[in-house]
Amino acid sequence: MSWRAIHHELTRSFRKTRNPLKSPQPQPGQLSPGLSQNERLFRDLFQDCGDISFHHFNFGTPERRGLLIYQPGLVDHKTLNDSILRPLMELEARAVSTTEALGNSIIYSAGQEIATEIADISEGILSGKTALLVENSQEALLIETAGLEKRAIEESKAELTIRGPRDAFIEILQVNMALVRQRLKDPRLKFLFFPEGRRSKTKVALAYMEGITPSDLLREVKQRLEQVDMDIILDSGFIEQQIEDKWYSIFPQLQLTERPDKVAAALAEGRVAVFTDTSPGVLMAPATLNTLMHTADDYYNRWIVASFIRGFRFFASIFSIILPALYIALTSFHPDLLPTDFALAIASARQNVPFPAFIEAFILEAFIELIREAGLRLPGNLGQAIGIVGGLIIGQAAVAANLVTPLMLTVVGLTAISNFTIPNFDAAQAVRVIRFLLMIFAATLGLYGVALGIIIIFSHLVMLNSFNYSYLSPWSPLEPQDLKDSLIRLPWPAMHQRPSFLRPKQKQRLNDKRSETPHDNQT
Amino acid sequence: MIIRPKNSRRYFAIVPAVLIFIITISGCWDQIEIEQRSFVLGIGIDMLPARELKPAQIMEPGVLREQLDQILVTLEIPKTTQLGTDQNQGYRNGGSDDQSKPAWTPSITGVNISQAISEIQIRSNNQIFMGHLRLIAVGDDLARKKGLHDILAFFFRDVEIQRNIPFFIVNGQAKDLLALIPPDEKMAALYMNNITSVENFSARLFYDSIGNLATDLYEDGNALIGRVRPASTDAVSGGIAVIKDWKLAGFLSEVETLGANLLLKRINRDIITVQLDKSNWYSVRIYNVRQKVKPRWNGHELQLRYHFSSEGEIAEVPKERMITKNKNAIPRLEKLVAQQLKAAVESALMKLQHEYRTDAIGLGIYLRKHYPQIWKQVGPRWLEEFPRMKVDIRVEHKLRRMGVSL
Repeated sequence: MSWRAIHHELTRSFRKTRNPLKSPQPQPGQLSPGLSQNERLFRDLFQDCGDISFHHFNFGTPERRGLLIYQPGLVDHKTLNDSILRPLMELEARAVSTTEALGNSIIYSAGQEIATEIADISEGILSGKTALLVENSQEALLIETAGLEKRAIEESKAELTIRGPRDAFIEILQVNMALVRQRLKDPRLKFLFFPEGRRSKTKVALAYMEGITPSDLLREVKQRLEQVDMDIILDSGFIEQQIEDKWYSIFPQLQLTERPDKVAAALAEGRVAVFTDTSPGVLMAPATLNTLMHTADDYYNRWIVASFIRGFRFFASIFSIILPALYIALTSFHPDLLPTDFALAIASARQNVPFPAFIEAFILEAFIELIREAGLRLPGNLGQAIGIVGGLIIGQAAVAANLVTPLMLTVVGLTAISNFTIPNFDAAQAVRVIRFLLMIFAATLGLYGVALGIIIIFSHLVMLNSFNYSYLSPWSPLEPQDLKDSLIRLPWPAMHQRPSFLRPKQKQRLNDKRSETPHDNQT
Repeated sequence: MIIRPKNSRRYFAIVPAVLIFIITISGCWDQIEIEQRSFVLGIGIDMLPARELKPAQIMEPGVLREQLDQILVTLEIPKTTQLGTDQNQGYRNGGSDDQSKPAWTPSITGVNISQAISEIQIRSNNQIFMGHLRLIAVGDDLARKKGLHDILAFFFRDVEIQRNIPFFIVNGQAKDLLALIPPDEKMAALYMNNITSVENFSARLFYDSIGNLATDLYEDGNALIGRVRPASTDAVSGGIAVIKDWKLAGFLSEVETLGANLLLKRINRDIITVQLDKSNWYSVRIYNVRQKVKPRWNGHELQLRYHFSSEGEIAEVPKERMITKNKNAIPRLEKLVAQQLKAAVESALMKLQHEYRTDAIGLGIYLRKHYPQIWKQVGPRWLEEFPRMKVDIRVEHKLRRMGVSL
């Protein structure tokens, strides 16, 4: 199979076409008038589904039978008992006959709907609603009783700030949307729903700001979300990998965050956000290399400090990509570029190390990756212990055993520390991999190889797009206006316009009342 | 394989293929681990004294060794194993406990430098690597008899060797300079390399890199080179070797070096000690030396008027009262310093004009660039005009600071 065919096949199966093998839907059909018939219908549908409860009861008169179908783990039992069962069972024999009338006047619930389709009812039950069926009715009442156990809104583990808000997204879509809505109390903030996952029936919400988000972007995201066809969606990562531009690129083309303030800021800039139910990660699009390097604190802190720290972060990320490669190239190929004292120090330290610098670097880099991975897999305190054992003891022992030089230990430590400064986790992981590639280049071609590797990385970045926006914006193509928020962040009065590379529908975002010529008040 | 840019998928397939070939097919020829290189820090080149030529030193039968124009090449190569591999102490440069030097200083004869180095190479377990050369020293014997042309040519042809390496003429044998155990450094070459920075504190010192030296020499064959005299535990680097037509003509003393540095505007600061009256020595630290030169051609001879102005502060006085009470003390002191500076310039010029008859300070080049009218008159006969030109030197010295008075 030629490369072209492979590429085509992959692209096709990834995005272009729908898989024709659809699973058989639960038998479509309507409810029948008899309660026992309906019950049999649902018992067949939920055969062997041990987690579905059927509850019989009488209301009004002993002849009037009713049936509640629900998933006990998904519903809030207090609501179920107090708001549904109690009013029904305390009901006197009045002439409330229809299901609709029951819902309208008896049951205390704001979220209820009449359903007749069996498919709708079963989906409702499986997403935490309670179905009420009564004798002699072809309708069922779907009552919102969802009360899933959820974890509290906690501080973000991956994106910490010193100054900003602490709350982070959780696994419940409704809560996540509320966290953003809290920050943008504007009816022009829209959430469009896309049911994804043929079996998981996961709700995916596309958030955007009407009047700011450019229509091209919105159309593109909608189109790609509609094309997703997968059996289950377990995390936003599933969505991300199916709507991104280039599946083969190592760089993330959507920006993942678990901070509501970041999402709100992105929406207000004119970008879009994709929420996935059951996932605390929200995807922002388009992502550029520039936005991946920003943190929320950059905007909360005062601009000089923020710019200084941000500049450092850019510097550190470059450092973490090229430092080991530079070490290999300089010691193995070009020692004349080192200061004399330093070259002699390295030479004398390496006298007892049996491996070439390249192998030495690989041993330690692989070692650091091992520590990181092990620390991640182990529970809390044990993970810290691994860090100490790995970092201090094994590192020291490796030097004592003449496996590596102390300098290499420094280089690798610096690299790892620099890598932690990259705010976006996906970008940091990309850098981890690129570092190894550059090390191979350095080991074969020296400094020339490092330069070649960097050229290859940059030519890839230049070609890369995120939702048809250039990945290197605002540097390439150059958007001079957007440089205000790139390597440095200018003070807010200088940033009165939204990033122009997005072509937002409305450009102005800030009126500086202190300046003498006020802008028209349209924000 | 034709790459058609329109067919982006094929183009896309070629990129990884090329990358794989680059990595797998390239042979890593240049890859030599850092500990497998012999870093040559210093190189000394001497004329081989005839009496030391013994049959035992004839290493290669084919080469005629009896001829006298042989050279002795000495390298200083640090023994990296002995530079302090104790992992608790790390690398220590300087402060050795024992008196032996952790360096290998092979001296081998050859008809030229490359041949001698190749002889050393077959005695070394590592690649002889010149990329970290920090000192080039040439014995005065060789500089006087054979000249510097061939030596510089070697260093310029080698791409590994940098252009900023200090070049010294050794008053004696360059071999001895490389053999010395310096006071606070392990390598003689690094010691000498660091000494060049002393130029900022003393005007009796002169040095130049081979890059600048070559610029001077290729211009007219004349140049000034720093001189160094090796001793057993240190080296005195003062004075200047005057090169005329690529060959060593003679030396300038340390006082004359001060004069030459003044002429060349290469003086940052120095201490001038003068005798104000009998048995009272005063030291003045001079700085901010400025120089103006005005040439004039009156039809038959070139007249140069140098005007120096310098500032200074008192570094040491024997009797404080002499300064504070005596109103004339400071003007007298200023005058004495100026006189001393003038004497230094005069003696340097005297030697260059009349003893060596060499325009090694680049005056001709200066005239050609800035006074082309005058150069038109004197240029064609510059070799004769330089010794007979009249020089008028004026020095003005101001004492700016008295220092702390007790």
